[in-house]
Amino acid sequence: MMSKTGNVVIALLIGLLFGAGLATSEMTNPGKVQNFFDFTGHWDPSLLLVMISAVVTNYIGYKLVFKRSKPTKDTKFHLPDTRLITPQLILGSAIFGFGWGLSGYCPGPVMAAVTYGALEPILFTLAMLGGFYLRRQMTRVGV
Amino acid sequence: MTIISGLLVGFGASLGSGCTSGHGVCGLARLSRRSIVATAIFFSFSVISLYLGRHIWQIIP
Repeated sequence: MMSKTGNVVIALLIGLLFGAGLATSEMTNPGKVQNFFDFTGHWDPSLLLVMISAVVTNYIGYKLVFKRSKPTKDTKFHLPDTRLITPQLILGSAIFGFGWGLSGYCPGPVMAAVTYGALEPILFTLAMLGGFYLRRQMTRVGV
Repeated sequence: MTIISGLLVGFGASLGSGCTSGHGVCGLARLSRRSIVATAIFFSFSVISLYLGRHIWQIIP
């Protein structure tokens, strides 16, 4: 069993790798992401390759990982336990997608983009945290 | 504009239980039905909002 510190170090290294991947693939460049959505204008298909290579890498990774009975640093795998297509899933994805198209930012890349020092990603991240908070409050009152 | 889209992204990702990384990369790689539905929906809505914002409302450069 690894120590808590060991887990934190692993999490840091994985975060570093994820951030480097997002920056290298230019997911952190909102204009490029928006051009990927722009079928009727100057469509930039390159992010499709990013998406495909990320999914294939993970697919192979999961095949290997799920051969194990449990993770090396935990007692069990924590996977989503629902398989239902709920109204929340549909509505939430639609709202998320609308915001992603308007801004070109999604949660992971915007946090990586904060390191560039511009004001926009910082503002966006704060607003996004506000969105998370709002949803949590709604859950609390039972919506 | 930045603040409104940030709110939408945060609220939507939370309500929909995932974002591009969660549903789009991890979920699709696990062949999750929920994630396939979520990814199809959020990509469609991104295309729609970018179309509106750039070509109709002309608020996106």
